[in-house]
Amino acid sequence: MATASPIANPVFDITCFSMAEQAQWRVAMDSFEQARKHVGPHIVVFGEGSFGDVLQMSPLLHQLRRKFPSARLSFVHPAGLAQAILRGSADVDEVVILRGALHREARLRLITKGWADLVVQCSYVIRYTTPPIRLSRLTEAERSWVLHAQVEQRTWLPLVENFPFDNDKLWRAVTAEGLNLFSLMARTAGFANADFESFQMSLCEADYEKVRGLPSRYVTVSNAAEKLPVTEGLWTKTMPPNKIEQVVAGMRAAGLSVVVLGAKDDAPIRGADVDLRGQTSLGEAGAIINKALCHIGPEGGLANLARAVNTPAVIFFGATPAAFFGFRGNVNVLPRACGGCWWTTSYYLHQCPRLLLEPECTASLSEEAILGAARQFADGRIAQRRRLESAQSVALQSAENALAMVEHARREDFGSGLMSAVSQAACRIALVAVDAASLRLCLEALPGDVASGVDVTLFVCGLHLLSALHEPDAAAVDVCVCGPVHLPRRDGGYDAVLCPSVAVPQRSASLLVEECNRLLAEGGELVFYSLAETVGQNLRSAYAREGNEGPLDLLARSVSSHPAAEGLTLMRTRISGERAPV
Amino acid sequence: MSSSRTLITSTEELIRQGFNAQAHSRPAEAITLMEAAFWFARGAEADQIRDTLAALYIAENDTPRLARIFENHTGELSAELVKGALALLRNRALGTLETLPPQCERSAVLTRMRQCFDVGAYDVASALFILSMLLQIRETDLAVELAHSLFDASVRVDESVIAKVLAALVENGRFSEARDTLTKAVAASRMPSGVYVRLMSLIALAEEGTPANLVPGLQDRAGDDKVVQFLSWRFTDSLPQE
Repeated sequence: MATASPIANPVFDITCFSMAEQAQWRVAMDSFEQARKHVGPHIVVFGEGSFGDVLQMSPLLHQLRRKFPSARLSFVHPAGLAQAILRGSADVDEVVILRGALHREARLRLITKGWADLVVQCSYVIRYTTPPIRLSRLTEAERSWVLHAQVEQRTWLPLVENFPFDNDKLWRAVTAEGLNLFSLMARTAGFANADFESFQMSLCEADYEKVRGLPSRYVTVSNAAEKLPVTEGLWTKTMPPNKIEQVVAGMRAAGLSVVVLGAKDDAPIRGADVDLRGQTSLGEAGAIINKALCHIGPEGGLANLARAVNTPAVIFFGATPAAFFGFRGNVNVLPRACGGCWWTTSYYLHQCPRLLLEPECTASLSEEAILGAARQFADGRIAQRRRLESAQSVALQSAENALAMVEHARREDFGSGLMSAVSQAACRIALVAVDAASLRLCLEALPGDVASGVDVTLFVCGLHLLSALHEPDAAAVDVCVCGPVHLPRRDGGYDAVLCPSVAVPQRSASLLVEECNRLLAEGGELVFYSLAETVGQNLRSAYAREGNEGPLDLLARSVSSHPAAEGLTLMRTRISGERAPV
Repeated sequence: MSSSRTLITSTEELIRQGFNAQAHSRPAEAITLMEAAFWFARGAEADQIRDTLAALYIAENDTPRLARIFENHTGELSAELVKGALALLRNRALGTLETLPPQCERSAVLTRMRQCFDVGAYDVASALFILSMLLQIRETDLAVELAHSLFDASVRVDESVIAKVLAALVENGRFSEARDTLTKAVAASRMPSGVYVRLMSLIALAEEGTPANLVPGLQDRAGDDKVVQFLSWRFTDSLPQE
């Protein structure tokens, strides 16, 4: 048995750990040993922390999957929440739950026994470790790439040798170089140009169940972060109760409902409309934040979750540095006094290192600044939703016979034709496949060789569609497997979005249109295919009602040449006007 | 198909399995078994189970169940129930509990806590838990007294706990006591000299009412203390902009 003969570290004795940990160890070792039978290389990524840290690592997992498409990718994490976050992710083949104290020994086993071809460790700085060449199944080019990344890693690794106790030195050194956490991770992972602020998390329709009972226009508020129950005392990340209650009152005065999220042990926030502390799963919390006009809360887990579901957020900071953790597109509210004592002591989170009972940093946060930013986000999102309400009528008229459309599309070759036309003006194109028929259309629309400078992302909405996706089909594009109602990319990241939304259920269709629009950059082009004849008229009149005729570029073609495709309409519309602030 | 489950036929077996689940870090299962056992138990056995349940509820911060345990309880609170009552007082202060059970009246609980403490009913872990609760419900006098008892007994207390006690004293303007407490803590806690110098200087800063300036020469005396480096950076550079 794997645990009986520890060769890596003779002092290690698994029987010193609890029964539960011993069971975790056995499962992990069996899994790693089995992975050796996989034809391709085996990559094992070790993560720590809570769910926010897992989300921060999701872009790394995505990039590794793209870099090593034939590899088996295992993710090892101490928290079961990792499984909830990576549920349905195509970037990871398995999630192994293993207590942090056992990670070091597991890494040693993986390397010395040759069970992994690349071990990845993340303590803000990414660290790659490889076994001896004789045991490695990486190609020479892949090994060379790893070596190149390790050069950059060596610059930063001394600052995490004592992780996390030297994090204060780390963040100051990082920001002095003009970097932040995400660019540091991207750079040390060897993907310097990748966007490590685009977190990956799939939401399913069941996650949206709790949204149905909520008011139509709401903001989410939290005043806790990750595993920080207030039962330990006042935290240097959270606002004093009276201040957060003023924020809640201000949002309500602006006519918006307030939904409180958090863990069961978090302190209540008086004045909120709905209190869901301790009542949501991670997916449900994600869905609720996804449908919120904006999120307000401290730096931490839910701020990362808001990022993952692409909801703009007003994030307030205390002990942790905004220059290191702040996301672009959010409004980061900094303390007006003190702040930034992150890891100057091991207890900085629950006792101000300056011996203040109420930390000066969070006490100095401006409620007005938070309220002003939140209202601006909310107004922008409301305006965006109004525009979408008209566009949604397009997708709500779903087709009855998707195959007819595919047949017609193939004969007319409008998929590739359209793609060519779009790609002349767009360098970032998203193709959204929501069912087998639309995946076929998307694949046919893909040009054989994507022009240089054109960045194509194929969103495959559902794991079940993967069987229809063959490697050569999508070799030149970024394939992102996700849920149908959440496309895990940042706002305004694409010049064109093509979505053959022929047979989507009515509820998903409205969410899908909203998601597609969110991805569009200002002036971007949104293309839908639909079988409904009246769609063009509906959209035209809806836009005309809003006095929006000018910028609307609408193309509607009725087709009657094929009996099965009678009533087919190709929709093409340019979403214009002012976008919500991002 | 054979089942691996066995029929539990006695209260003793329920208790045994409950303790087994607790020992193997399965609190939910332990609570279920212990609650079932409590239903049948009488006398001293019931008291023992009640104490175990209280410990489990405290660990899980299960406020409703913890409050319910006091409902049918008459007579003196046991040492474990005192800890439970303190946890409820803390949750009341945080706002996560609306109404306290009548048996958790503040002064009565604190008196009983002192009695239990005097007869040696608490181990070090319990004492540190109680200290944390006292600080959170702003019972500074009792907290300082308890901290001093720990220092006198040469119990090694974490720097974070010492900092919390000092912060409570500083908040109340009891600077001289804060200095005495820190001096006592140093011997018991093997505190690095840099940390001692820094904490002593922070007490002096608070006394002088000049929180944004460092005591002259602190940096030289505190060596490479990270808090001092931070304060130097924070209060000599420009403050962050929103």
